[in-house]
Amino acid sequence: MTDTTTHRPGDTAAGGHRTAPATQCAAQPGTAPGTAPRAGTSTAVPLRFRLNGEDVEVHVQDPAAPLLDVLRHDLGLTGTKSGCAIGYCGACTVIVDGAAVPSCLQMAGLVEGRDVRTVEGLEGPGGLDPVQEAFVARAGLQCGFCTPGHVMALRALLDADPEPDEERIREVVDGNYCRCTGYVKILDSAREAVARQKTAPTTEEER
Amino acid sequence: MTTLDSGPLPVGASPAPVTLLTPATLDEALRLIAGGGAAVLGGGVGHTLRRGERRRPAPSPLVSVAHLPGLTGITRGEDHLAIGAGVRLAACAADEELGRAWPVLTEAAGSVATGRIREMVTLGGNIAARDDSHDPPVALTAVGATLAVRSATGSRTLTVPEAARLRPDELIEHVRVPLPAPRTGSAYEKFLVRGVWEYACVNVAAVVTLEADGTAGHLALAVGSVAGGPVAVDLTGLAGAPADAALVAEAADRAAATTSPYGDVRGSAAYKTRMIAEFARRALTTAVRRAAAAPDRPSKHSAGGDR
Ligand SMILES: Cc1cc2nc3c(=O)[nH]c(=O)nc-3n(C[C@H](O)[C@H](O)[C@H](O)COP(=O)(O)OP(=O)(O)OC[C@H]3O[C@@H](n4cnc5c(N)ncnc54)[C@H](O)[C@@H]3O)c2cc1C
Ligand code: FES
Ligand code: FES
Repeated sequence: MTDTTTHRPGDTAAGGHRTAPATQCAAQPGTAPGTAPRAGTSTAVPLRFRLNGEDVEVHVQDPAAPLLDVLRHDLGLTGTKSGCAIGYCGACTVIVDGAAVPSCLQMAGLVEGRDVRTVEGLEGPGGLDPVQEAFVARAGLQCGFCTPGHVMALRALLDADPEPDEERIREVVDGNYCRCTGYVKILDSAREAVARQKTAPTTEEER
Repeated sequence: MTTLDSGPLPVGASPAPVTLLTPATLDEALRLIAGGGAAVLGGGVGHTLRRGERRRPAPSPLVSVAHLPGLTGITRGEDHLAIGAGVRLAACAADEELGRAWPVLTEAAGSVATGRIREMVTLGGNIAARDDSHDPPVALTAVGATLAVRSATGSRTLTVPEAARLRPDELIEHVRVPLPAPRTGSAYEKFLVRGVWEYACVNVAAVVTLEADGTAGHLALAVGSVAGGPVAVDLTGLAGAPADAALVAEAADRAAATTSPYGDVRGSAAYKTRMIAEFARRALTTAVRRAAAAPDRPSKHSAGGDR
């Protein structure tokens, strides 16, 4: 994953605004990269997707690399954490087309044309997303390593269902290990996030 | 058995790059895999995990299929449901019609890993990976589902345990699930030694159809996490007896007697054999209870219409 150029047409025609996420991945482009890159040469293939509301194009050496590596190494977005790299810990969770998924299992090449959101893209009326505010208010973090995963998973939950019941909340927190807090305060934060989401004026571009 | 390990590469090594192809149609996909030199890509979870292995197979082009028309939805036919191979396990687990017809299937799909991972894993990828501890294939075996398999030169039907016979130039297009007979119940039991989500110690699926007189007209058990799994347990001779505790015990004993679990971190083979008997008993008991509560008319007349 070296030798990568990044190009972010952030303030072009769309004026840098977030627009509604591209619906589904149905409209994947036809056959993608044609020729097999040979070991030893630096053939990089372009990968285009929507990242935190902006269209990005990044040239990756290996489209089969995990999205996590592309985010952290190629795009320098280190808010998404790498814990286990095998799907267990949830620290690397990002939102792809509305679904919270572990980015260590998400093959980068498969996000072509899709909508990706990372913790860097969160914002809210007061600066922070209501979910982030809830974690601050309820002390839902200590070292903070697991927090981006929790926050993104809860963001995806609230986008899909603004009034989840307790079971749904627990289901969503499951699969994201925290070695510090013991989960009580994480669940408190999650419930607080639901409460704040109800009262918060929705940010303009939400869905 | 399955162990997950990121198996770090030797220092300084990086895996050779792979070509990823995204065909727009099924025919195009079939042409791309026709030579057998390309691998089918579902949700990519298995591929991404194996990327870190030291001795992984030489990289070949990957052909992404999960988005292809015909692989993406759950459709209802006259006497069956067809689940596209690209349907994510999260969608399988949440499908109401599937849950009404075969709770064993939605329970098995919903028991895989975590909700976040179920958003990525495809049904076809879960089956084609041919891991004896995977959950959905155990449930699909018990209900008698079949795999609709395609290649550039033709199509054929395989049972779920026959998935081992998939050729490199073939892909699973959809999974065909028969609609249950009236008064049919089903249940899935996944035994987790640590009580949290992980791969099963043992996993058992049960299906029971009751006759009007309370006898079991049909019963089926499938067991995973055993050699050659999922295994459809041979229950010959048991149908026709009253669906009571004695029948359940006899079927469960047969499941334990005719399967070969292996010892691993989740338990010794002997322990797992006892667990197979116990969890087969639980799955069958639930299936009988559900069958007794199920509508006594074919579900094709009772539920939902086309979707
Ligand atoms: C942390 C973790 C926990 C897990 N826990 C469980 C669990 O409890 N239970 C369980 O069942 N599984 C579990 N899994 C495993 C997961 O279900 C498998 O890795 C699954 O095979 C991934 O599916 P995929 O669609 O992403 O497959 P891919 O990686 O895309 O493909 C897997 C294999 O199937 C082939 N393939 C894919 N689609 C098709 C098709 N349509 N036709 C023919 N071949 C195809 C591919 O070529 C490849 O060989 C877990 C995985 C992780 C990471
Ligand atoms: S780093 Fe992805 S789940 Fe642990
Ligand atoms: S706050 Fe440290 S791991 Fe969760």
